[in-house]
Amino acid sequence: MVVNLRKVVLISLTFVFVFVIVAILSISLGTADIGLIKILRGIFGWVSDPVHGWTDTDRVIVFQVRLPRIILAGIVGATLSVSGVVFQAIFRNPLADPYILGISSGSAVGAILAIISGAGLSFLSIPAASFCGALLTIMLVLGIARTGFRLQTNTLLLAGVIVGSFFSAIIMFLVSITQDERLHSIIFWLMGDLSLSKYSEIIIVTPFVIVGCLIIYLHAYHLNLIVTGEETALQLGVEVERVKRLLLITASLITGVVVSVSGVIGFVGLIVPHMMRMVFGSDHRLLLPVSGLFGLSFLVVADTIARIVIAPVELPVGVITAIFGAPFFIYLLRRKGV
Amino acid sequence: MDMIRVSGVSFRYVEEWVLKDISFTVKKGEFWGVIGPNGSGKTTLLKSINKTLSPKEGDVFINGANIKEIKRREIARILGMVPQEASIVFPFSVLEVVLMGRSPYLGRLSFEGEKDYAIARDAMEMTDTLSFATRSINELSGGERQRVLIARALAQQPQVMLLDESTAYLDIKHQIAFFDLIKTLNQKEGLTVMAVTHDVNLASIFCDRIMLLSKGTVHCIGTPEEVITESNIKEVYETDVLVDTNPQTGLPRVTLIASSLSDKGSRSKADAAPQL
Repeated sequence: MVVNLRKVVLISLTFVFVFVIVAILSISLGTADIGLIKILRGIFGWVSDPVHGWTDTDRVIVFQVRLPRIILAGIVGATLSVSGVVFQAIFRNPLADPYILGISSGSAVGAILAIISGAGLSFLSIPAASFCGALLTIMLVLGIARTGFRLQTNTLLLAGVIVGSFFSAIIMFLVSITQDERLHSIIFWLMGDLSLSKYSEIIIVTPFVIVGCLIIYLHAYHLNLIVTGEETALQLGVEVERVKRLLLITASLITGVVVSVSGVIGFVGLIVPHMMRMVFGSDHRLLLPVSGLFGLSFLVVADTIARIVIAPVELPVGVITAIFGAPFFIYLLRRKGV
Repeated sequence: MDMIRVSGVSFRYVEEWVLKDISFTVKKGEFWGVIGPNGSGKTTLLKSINKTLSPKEGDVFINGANIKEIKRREIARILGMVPQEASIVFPFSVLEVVLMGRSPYLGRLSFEGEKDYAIARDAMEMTDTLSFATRSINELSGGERQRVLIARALAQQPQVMLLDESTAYLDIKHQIAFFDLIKTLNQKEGLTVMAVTHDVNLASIFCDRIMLLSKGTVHCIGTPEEVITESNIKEVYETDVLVDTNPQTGLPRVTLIASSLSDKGSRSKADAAPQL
C-alpha cells in the first residue's frame, strides 16, 4: 500500500465522520436519558424549530457536562495516540508508548502533591502542578541521556525507566501517608479520569496540542526514514539529531499537557498506533493523522463505557482502556512475537 | 574532475584513532575498491565521506565543496550508500522502501509523483526485486532484502555509489549480477563507485583503482596489478596467499592457503611424483 495525498485526505475525512457519529451517540447516552432523536432534532432542526423540545436540564447536561467531557476525551485520545506513534518511531520499538520516558510518574507526583496539600481545590492547580512534574521529568531525562551533543536512544530509554521508577517510589510513599478521602482523588487521577472536564481546560490544552501535532506532522516523512535506521536516515538527507530532539520534546510536552488534565490514561498511546499500523501500514504521512483521528473516537467510546457501564457510578476511564487494552496487547505479543 | 577529495582525515570513536591522516582523490567515473583487514577503518572511511560521521581532523570535499558546508539533503542527491545489512522493524512494503531513495528530492509535505514511481520501478527491475514489490520488507530473506537496499540507493540517482560490503550476504549469482550492474552504470553513465569489500578477487575484477588500508592508514593505492601482490597482502593481512593471473581477465587472482591442509597438499604432490 503506497500513500498519496488523496488517500490521506479521504481516509482522514472518513475518520472525522466516524468521530461525529460516535460523539452524537455518546451525547445521547448516560444516566439522564436524553435520547438520540432529541439530539438529532437539536442538531438538524436548529433553524426551523428553535425550541425542539429541549428542557433546561437537557441543555445543562448536554452543554455543561457531556459535551466538554467528549471534547476533552477526544483531544486526550488523539494526543496520546499521536505521541505514541512518535515514540514508537524514534525508539524503533513498537512497544514504546507516550509514558516511556517517565512522564506519567513525573506528572503524577505533581498532581498528588497538589491534591495532598489541598491546593487541588482551587481552579486548575492540579493540572498546573502535574504539568510542572511532567516538564521536570522531561528535562531530567534529556539531561541525563545527553552525552556530548548526541542523544543516544538506548541511554534515553534507560534514563526514562530510571527516572520513572524513582518517581513511582515517591508516588507510593505519598499514597501510603495519605488516608482520608484525598486517597480517592489520587487513585482516580492515577487511573485517568475525565469526569470533571471543563471548557477552561479545553481552551488551555487545545492550542498546545494543535501546534504540537502540526510540528510532528511536518516531520512525518522524516519519521519513515528514522524508523528504517538512524544512519540510513542521515544518508538519505535527514538531520536526525535535530529532528529526534525536536519531536521527542514536542511529543513529551503535548503528553504532559493532556496528562495534566486527564490523569494517566494507559494503553491508548500503545494500542491505537498498533491497530492503525496493522490496517494502514507504516507510512507516517498516513499513520499520524489516522492514529490521531482514531484516538479521538477510541477514547470517547472508552469514556462513554466508563460513564454508563455501572451507572450511576462512574469508573475512571483508565480502567476501561486497561481492561480492553491489556488483553489486546497480549494478543499482539502472541501474534507477532515483537 | 575531482569527485571526492579526502584531505588529512583522522577519526576516532573514543580513544583510539580509527583513521589516521588519510588523503586521496577519486576522479569522476572511477571505480575504486577499498580493501583491508577487519578494523582497518574501511567502513569508518565511507561514513566519513558521506557525513554519517564527522572527521575529528581533516576535510572531505565533494565536487570541490567541503561537506561541512553542504546540507545532508544535497549530499544525499550526490552520494548513495548501500549498507552491509539493515534491520527494518516496521512493516514497510518493498516499494515503500525503494521509494525512500527519492526522499532527498521530495518537498517537506509532498508525496512521490509519477516520475519517482518510474525511477523506483526501474531500480527494482535492475535489481530483480520487482516481483516482490508489494511484500513486506521484513518477510524477505537476507539476500532479497539486500537487493531492495541496492534498489533504494539506485533510486537516489547518485553520482557516487558507496558500497559497504554490500554483497557480503548475496549468493554468487546475485553478487556478480550486482557488480556487473554497477560496472555498467560506471561505464555508461559515469557513476563513480567506491566499494568496500572483503572479496579481493571481486575488487581485482571490477575496480580501476584499489586502496589497501592497514590499521587506519593507507598502505598503498594503485591498479589491481600494483596493489594485489603476495607481499602486500602478507604485510597487511598477515597471512600467506598465492597470487596468479585470472584466466578470464588477466588480472591478479588470489588463492587462499589453508595452513591445516598445506602438508597434505605437498604430500599428495610427493606421492604423485614417482608415477610420472
